[in-house]
Amino acid sequence: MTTFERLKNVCDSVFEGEIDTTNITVESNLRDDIGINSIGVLYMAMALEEEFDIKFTNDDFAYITTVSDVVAIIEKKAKK
Amino acid sequence: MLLFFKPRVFKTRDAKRQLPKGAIMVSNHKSLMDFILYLIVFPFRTIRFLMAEVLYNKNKPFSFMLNSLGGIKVDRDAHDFSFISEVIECLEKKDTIGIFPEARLPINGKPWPFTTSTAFIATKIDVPIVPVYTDGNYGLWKRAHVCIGEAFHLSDYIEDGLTESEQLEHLTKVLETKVYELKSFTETRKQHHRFFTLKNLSMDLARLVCAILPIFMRIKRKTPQGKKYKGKIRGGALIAANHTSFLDPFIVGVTFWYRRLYFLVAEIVMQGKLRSMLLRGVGAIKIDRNAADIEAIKKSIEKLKKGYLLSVFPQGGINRDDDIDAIKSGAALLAVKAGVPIIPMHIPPKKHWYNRRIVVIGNTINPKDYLTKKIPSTQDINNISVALMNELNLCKNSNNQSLED
Repeated sequence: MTTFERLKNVCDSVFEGEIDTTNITVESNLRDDIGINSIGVLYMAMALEEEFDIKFTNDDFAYITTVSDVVAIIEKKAKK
Repeated sequence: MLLFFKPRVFKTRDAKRQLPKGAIMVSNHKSLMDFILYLIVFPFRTIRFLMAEVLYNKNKPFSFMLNSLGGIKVDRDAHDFSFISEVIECLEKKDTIGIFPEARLPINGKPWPFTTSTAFIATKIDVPIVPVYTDGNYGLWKRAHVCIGEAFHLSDYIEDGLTESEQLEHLTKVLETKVYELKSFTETRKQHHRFFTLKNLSMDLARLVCAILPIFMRIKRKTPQGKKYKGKIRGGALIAANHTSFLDPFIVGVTFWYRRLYFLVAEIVMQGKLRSMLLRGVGAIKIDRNAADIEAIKKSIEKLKKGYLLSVFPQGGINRDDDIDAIKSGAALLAVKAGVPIIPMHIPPKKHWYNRRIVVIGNTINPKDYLTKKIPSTQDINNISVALMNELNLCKNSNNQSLED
């Protein structure tokens, strides 16, 4: 399973019934296209930390706007 | 022996002081005396401990004594797994079993990894497992600290798609985590037992001031039913109050002066080195409201998990009109992630300097009651936030009623 697919699964369980993950693509903007607010981003980040066994810092969020940004950060941290 | 160990027993929020019948007690292993300590800590439950062959090989009287204490011999080097069927038989008879899965004493203080036998037994017979932690501080001039965790079933942690050996490794990891989670809890509770500690000196001095302030601030604590609030909060909890003035953090501090309290403070308040340093000293945790401040959230969760109180103002800013019609879901998120209850609190806005302040402490909201599945969804978080808002409004109405009276 790719990082993107695992991320979609996490979003499925975290935002169950609130967002439709079938339309999410790597280019989707987290706020504008998917509609995740700041608390949602935090909650998703915590679920991703558990799923991928990584740790996010505040600096990481400065670069996150799209799904591809999240995937890139996860892959970078998972390699370490 | 009681004088030797002088055990101080802590338990987590939902844990029971007594071991259930037909359960497995799992503990870390610090010393050969561990099992004697547990015989003292659980005097009303006969616990049958798994004991190493070396103890049985010492001499016959000692072996006889271990047998009479309910010991089950385990030969660690001989690949003799007959003890497993004996343990399962005992559990079927509703006996309680004590296991030290590390199987050996620590070397230079470093514990051994858990062996898989406990997880194996738990997969064969689904019984409650009680994690227990001891700090091994035994001696005439010392005091042993024991922490009892909440009973759980290992079957709840079985993951699909794993081979049998991977499953055992995974379940053993769960057991190890459950036991060693209690270590930080024990250390924190040891600190809480002392009213003053050097580590928390500035925080404790602030508490001392808060203990005296009610005389001048004339604060009265009430329940939503208008009765005097007599509750004492134990363990970690999130205090969620409305926010009508800059004095509110002091009022929360005064109300709960008997506990060490952390605050989530907006970045704008923490500007300036001296102010920031002072506020940090009294327990402020800076949070950037305009960004996804994951570090502040994680720090807050850590404090809550360690058993501290954390005060938040879920309206996200000062609202002088005292309208509680919208609150942010950060408070619910913190409570869910840390697994602690939310204590709603209403602070009325002060109209005249001579008015007496009546704070209403509402009914505790337990996030667990609102969770619909294992991984909580944002819908669950929103439901908890709505419950908190309703409870705060209930407190507000009760407060307005008592002010009119």
